[in-house]
Amino acid sequence: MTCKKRWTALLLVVCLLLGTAACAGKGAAGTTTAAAAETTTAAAETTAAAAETTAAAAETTAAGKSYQGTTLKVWLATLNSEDVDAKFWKEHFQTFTEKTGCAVELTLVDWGTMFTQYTTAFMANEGPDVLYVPGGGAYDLVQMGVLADVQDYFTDEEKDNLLYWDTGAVNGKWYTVPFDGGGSQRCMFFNMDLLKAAGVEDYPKTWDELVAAAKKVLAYDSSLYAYMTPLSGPHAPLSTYEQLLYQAGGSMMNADCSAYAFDSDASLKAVTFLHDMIYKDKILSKDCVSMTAENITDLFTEGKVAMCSSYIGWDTSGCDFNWVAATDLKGTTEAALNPIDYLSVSNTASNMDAAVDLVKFIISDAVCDDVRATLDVGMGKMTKTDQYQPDAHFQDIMEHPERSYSQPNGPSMSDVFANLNDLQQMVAMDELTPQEFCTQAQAMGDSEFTK
Amino acid sequence: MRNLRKSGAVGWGFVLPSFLFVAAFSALPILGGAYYSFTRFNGFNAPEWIGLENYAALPRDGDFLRALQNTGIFALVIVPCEIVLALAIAAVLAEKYQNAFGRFVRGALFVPVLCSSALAGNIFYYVFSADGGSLANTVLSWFGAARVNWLGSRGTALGVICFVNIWKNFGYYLVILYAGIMDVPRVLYEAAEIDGASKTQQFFHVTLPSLKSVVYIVVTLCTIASFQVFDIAYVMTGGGPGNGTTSLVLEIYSKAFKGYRFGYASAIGMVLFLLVIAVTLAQRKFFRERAEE
Amino acid sequence: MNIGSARACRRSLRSRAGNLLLALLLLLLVAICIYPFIHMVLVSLMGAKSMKLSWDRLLHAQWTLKNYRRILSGSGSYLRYTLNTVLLALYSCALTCAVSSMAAYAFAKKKMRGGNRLFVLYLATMMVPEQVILIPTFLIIKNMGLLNTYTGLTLPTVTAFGTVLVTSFMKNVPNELLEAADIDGCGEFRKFVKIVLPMIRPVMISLFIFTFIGVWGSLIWPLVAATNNDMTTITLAVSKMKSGRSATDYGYVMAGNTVAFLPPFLLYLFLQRQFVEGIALSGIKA
Repeated sequence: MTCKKRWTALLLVVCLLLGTAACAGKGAAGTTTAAAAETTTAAAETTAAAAETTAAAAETTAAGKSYQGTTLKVWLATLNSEDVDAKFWKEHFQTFTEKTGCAVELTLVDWGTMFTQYTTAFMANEGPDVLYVPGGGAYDLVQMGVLADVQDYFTDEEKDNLLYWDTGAVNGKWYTVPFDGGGSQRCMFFNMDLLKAAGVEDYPKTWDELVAAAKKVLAYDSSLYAYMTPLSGPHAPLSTYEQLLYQAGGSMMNADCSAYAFDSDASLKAVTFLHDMIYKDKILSKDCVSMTAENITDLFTEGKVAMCSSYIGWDTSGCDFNWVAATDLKGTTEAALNPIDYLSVSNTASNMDAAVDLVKFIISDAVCDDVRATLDVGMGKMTKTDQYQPDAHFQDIMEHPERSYSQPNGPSMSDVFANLNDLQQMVAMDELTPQEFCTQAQAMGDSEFTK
Repeated sequence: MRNLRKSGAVGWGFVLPSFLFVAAFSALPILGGAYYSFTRFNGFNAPEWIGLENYAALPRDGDFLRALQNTGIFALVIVPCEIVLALAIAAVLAEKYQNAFGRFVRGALFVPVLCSSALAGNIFYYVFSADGGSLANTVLSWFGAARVNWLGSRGTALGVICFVNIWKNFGYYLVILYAGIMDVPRVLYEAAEIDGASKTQQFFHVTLPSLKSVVYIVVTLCTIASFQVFDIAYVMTGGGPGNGTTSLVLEIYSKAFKGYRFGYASAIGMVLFLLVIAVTLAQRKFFRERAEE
Repeated sequence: MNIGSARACRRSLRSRAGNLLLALLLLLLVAICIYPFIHMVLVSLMGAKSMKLSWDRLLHAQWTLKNYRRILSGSGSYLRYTLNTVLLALYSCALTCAVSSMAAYAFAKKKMRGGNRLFVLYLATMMVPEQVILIPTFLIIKNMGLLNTYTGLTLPTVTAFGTVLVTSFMKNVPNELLEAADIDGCGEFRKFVKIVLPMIRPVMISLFIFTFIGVWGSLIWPLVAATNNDMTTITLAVSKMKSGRSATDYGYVMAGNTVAFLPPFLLYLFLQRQFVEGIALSGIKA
């Protein structure tokens, strides 16, 4: 069996080499065509843009591009579940292959171990050509030097059409193309039945209103959870500390993304509020320290929670009471995290044009519509041409993207979040003062840069 | 003399295959890890030699110190509980239940060993959930006690992690000890009975001494395993709350695979290694002295 | 009825009560050990996405086999992963049992210069956690060109543990038998296969089971050593089931866990009988 695998591998390599050699000529022609398209008149550009936004983005390659013989390795994160995703992408990549002759090899990666797999794969020179990069994760991959700058492959029209194009920049270069956002948009969920019963007519919109409403709920029935926010699990720092930070007017990183900004006034305000919610106002139960976002949505479904900070995208079908979702609260400003995930092309890709075209294909409106329908992932509006209409509950939130911010790119974000979560848990357990949080978080953030 | 040398040569012949495996896939990687502990290595770019810098940073690292403390707690709680439990049950089963019931019990108590630690962690996470509906809190309510946020405070979280680790592994040692007890020659028991020894006395004066080498191995394996608590803690608390339940291996994992500091993580690994060697040597001495009694 | 037999009666009653208590305690332990698996199977059949179990939920459950149907039908990949994992596990078991029993024989029965020191080295290699040696091992396998192969995935699973375990039981093999065989002019290897191996059968079966379980449940090594999804193990595949962006369907995840749990469980059930017989025999002989 090992022998056979070795021969198969050798055969594949030979095919790839032959294919690349054959493509080389055509590939060069393709690049010239793209460059020519950018420098021609507005008419040509509009045609190119219009063609792009139709079903198969691969049709722009009608100008003569064909990637016969190339195979692209694509690594995508599992959006729904492995079997559903695999079937979905197989069908769509079939369309791409038919249009361009380029074969696509898909591997689905797991969120938790994504970066381990990327690191070891690139170390072994077996990295993918197109890869899924979660928000905030680009920095490390850029440091490794494995991502390619793709801004020259997109026309101005295309860049304009993508609502979140700007967020993909790292030091003036574009290594990532926005693919999927709005689906884990953070927002507040309110059980209106419970609130009304407690005497709260309208859901709270600011920090002070939250505290007042929560106190009323507890006065009405102290066995309920008035307000919950996750302090455990992967969502925790993003849903809790980070939201409060931005709502207090601060941000994760400084203006030019050269340092983390955890030791700011806004940060202190945010953490103090968190601490007060537990110890001064007593509206946030310490149980949250061991609760993940899932625990909380479970309890919300059971009607035990009046208000909680959560995200769009969990299964609300079990809620048999009136509930409302609203953009997260206002401290000084209204802010909610809209995590956006990206696609990148690696600079070890055998055929850059094919890779970029595949990326464009995946982010095309038609495919994204299908992603929403089949994979049941609440992707928001990603392009100007997208006709997507969100569920009535979330319409208000999704129609006001200016209230949301997206994750900046910094080094070792997953480590930063893990550490932030530790620190916020310690504040929640009264083992750390808010000022200590800020100082230690800043020191931790700085050490990530000097690593 | 020639026989001895021949015996030695044959011995080496038999050891050779195993030796090749251990050398290539255990010893060599450990040396690799030791090398990395003196470098700054992000897993991708070439490692950069920095001497003892990683080790110097350890005493200032709150997470590391906490992990050291927790690992000590895990070892001190898990090892005695598991061994005593496994030994007691093995003895009871060997004595009273060498029948279908005994086989059933032994089989059932081994089943936790068969599942993955991640599954165990996931299920017990719900058993020990903080809200009133969880199994643990429901049981508490039968006794009139208030609900507890099991995984939300360090003391109870450590207790829960110890509990789940014991749950997962004691069947392993039960099986080994049971095999050992069954190996004790019947004649010794008969002699003791003639001397008028009670069942308990027989256990302490016949069974235990005969089990010496097996108990030694089991205690050693259990100690080594308890120093490496990771999967269950990772799934249930992620090392939280704060860094309350972090362990040395958890720190190694998060520093290496989340923080991309393989050099620093290797340094922690080396410290763990030296710690386990020290403890194992101490245990060896303890058992040697016991043997000389 | 005289006083003696009354006392005997009371003693027997007390010991009967004691026995009953003991049996109940054992059953309680059994319940604690088995409960999580019952939870797992119930959740997989309940037709809901939540992991929570309560009388309420049980009463209102919509029992269904849809999760299992999904696993078994979905492009057959879970069956392929299971097959993969079985092959890997058996490969590792074969290597480990062969190699460990030979080395244990040498350590326990042959006097070798430096044998003790080597044994201590073996013990030492078990004291370093997997995470520390992961990257070096990965680089070694990569340089041998064995990434994404069954051999590459299996070789590092042969550790010193097997040798250490078997050595302690090897000491129970009586030297007289071996010396008798020597006098009969029996060759070394023949001695090993015909005399030693049958005597240590219980511990070899234990080693087989432990190795199988170890390889079956290992997560991090298959993750990095197999960049090709075809080589994924079932445990790894199941651990990835809950990581989609959409709400986790725990019914499906638990069904996957059940499927991943079955082979080691069935193997143990099957081998347990043999294991028990082996022990009973050796006990009586002694």
